[in-house]
Amino acid sequence: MTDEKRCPACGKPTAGYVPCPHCGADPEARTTIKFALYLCLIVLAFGAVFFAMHLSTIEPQPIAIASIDRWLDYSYVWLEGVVSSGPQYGSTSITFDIYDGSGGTIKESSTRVEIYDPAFKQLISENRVPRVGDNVKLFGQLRVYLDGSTEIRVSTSGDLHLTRAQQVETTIGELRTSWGTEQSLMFKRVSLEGTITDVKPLGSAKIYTLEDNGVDLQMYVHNGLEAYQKKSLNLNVLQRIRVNAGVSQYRGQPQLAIADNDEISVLGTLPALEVPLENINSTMRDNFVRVGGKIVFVELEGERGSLTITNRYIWLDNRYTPRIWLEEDVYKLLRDNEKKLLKRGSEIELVGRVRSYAAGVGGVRIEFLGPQTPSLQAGTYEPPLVENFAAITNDNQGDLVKVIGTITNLENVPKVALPSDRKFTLQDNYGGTIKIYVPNFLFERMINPPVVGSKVQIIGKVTMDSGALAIRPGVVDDVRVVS
Amino acid sequence: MKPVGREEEVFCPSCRRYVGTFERCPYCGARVPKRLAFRLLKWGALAVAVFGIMFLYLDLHGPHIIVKEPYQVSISEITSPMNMAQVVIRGKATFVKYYDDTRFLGMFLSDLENENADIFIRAYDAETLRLINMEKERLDKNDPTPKFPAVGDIVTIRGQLRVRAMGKVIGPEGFRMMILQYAEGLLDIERPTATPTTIENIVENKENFGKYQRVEVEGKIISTRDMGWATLLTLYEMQSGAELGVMVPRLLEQFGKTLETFGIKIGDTVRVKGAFQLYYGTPQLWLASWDDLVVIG
Repeated sequence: MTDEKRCPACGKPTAGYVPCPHCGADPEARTTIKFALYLCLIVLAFGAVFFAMHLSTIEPQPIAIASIDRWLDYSYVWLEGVVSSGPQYGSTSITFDIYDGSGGTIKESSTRVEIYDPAFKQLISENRVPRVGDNVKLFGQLRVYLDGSTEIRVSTSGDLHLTRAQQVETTIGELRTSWGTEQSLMFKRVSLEGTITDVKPLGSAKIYTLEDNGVDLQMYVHNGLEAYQKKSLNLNVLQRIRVNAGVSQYRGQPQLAIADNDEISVLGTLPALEVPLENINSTMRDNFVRVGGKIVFVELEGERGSLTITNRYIWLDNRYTPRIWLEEDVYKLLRDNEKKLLKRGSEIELVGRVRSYAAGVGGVRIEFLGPQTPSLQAGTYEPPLVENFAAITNDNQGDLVKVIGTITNLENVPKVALPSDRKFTLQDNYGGTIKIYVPNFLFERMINPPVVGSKVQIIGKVTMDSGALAIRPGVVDDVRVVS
Repeated sequence: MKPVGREEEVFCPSCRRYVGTFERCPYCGARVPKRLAFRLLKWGALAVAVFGIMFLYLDLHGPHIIVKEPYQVSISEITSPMNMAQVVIRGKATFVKYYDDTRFLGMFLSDLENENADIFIRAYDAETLRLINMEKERLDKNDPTPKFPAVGDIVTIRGQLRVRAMGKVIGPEGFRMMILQYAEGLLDIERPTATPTTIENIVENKENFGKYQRVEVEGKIISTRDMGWATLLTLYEMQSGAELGVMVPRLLEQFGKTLETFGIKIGDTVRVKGAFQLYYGTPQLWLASWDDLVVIG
């Protein structure tokens, strides 16, 4: 007799076969649906709890900066690293770089961070603006540009986790010695002392030079600190300061990065040697001196390729004393009234550094150091008038002279892609002539430039031009049209 | 399964098979008469759809009976619930950049009443290129109405808002952006009249000038410097000896002209109109268009 058993899964007669020949179900191994349902619910509950616990305890996993590629453009990521430069303050943002050492070079391992309003203002109010040396972990949107540069934009202050760096007491000498070794203080925070010996103004920052025991170090102060945070540093040359700052690097050299003016405290001012100008010589090279005298001549030097002034050379008392060399960028740091007084005739007292500029000749000049406020008093001076140009000979090269005459000829001295220099022929009352060489950066600044037939007064230096004697004025005011 | 509808309408009168809403039997081809309502519904719906779309199209470009202009909102009032809304906004352009790699236009507009509130405007490559072509055409025709925005312009723009919610905060905080979806959405560009002044006045009294205020100066070009994304002209004022930087954005070259096109060189005396800005405390002007730079000597 045939077994009439039916399969519990498909309902067909199985004839006693296990598993069912129709659907393959094994009735002895069958689980009830209720049991399966409860099992699923329990697994779901445990799974959800586990996931929640995992999410609440997991740490953000930053990615390596060196691994960033174009595929990550616009993605949101965590990054972690040490602040390596900045912060640079803008009107509504700050920027700084972070470095995580994930690549073979500093560039590969670094990226720019930008934080805009309102996160930027929140960080300032919470005193959590990152400084060089601090460790940061941050979340934001990556941008990867075609040239390979990257930046990450942080939207909220909560997306930036900051750990302040510990400070290391050191000296400029030790910092320099350890640079490039395993003990390097690059991207660390330091406290050291130095004397300000120079300033180089850039468009967006000022670079101060600090010296200590003959070793120097640059200090970078971003102009945004003054422009947007309204904190101005009133530093002067030869001030001894203590700086607590991060050590960044620029072109492979260490550079201190100032995040706030509170990081600098003035300890005192070193005195400069008061030396009469005539006693300054090459043996005093690199010494700091305080000098004074009457400005008898100011020579401007122009930039190649433009009409921009790059340097001023100030003659004090006579033609034999060392020139005062003033870079135009430092000149622009002077106040307006100081600029107006820095002209022929004024009495000046200033701090400078003795520099050699003509090897083998013993020539020295005094570099006007910034930042400083020179002492200036108005006055007048004009060199003696030479009425007969025949009296000017080769022996007078380098002398200051004043001449008056009539322009009989005007030559253009062509310059590539620039207005020409001008060469006038000036005739005196005795029929004698002399050339007047006016460089383009002076001529183009003349409101009423002289023309042929003009009677002019020229104050200038006697020099040689194309084998002939010529007088070269120093500034625009040295050329005056008399009639 | 029971058929829906009257039997004489849903069964073929000829072969008695179920045909549903067909008006001709698919089996035997016989006509299956329907009540007017069925046919009206079918053809009427199609007609309404076609005429409705035509009406919407005409209304959009004309009387605005149904399709109203989007609301004009103040930039300060934009909050995260407005995300994805079509609105019209008006503000002063404080930053305008053409991105060479993506050919996008990026611009910041600040609220005229509250300069601390701003919004980022983006136009994608196709629309940016259309705007550039429109500006090229207007420059060629000497049309004074600008078609491409520049720093200092008052811009009225229609687009789609994109506003991120800042967690639970619903307010003006957070990044606000608008997508300029088509070039015609740039409804108006008002370029304020430039105030004539001197370079000396700008340099010595910079606090008297508003950010992005348009001014006009004259001076001699004493240097040009390629900054990459712009050319910096330095102007020298003869009477005072004061100097001022004028930024000529590289973007302007997209309009088919360069400084060389105008023969501008060092030594030329020029009259310039530009938007006043401070670069870390140093005044400079931003050139908005080629017609704002004229050689006068």
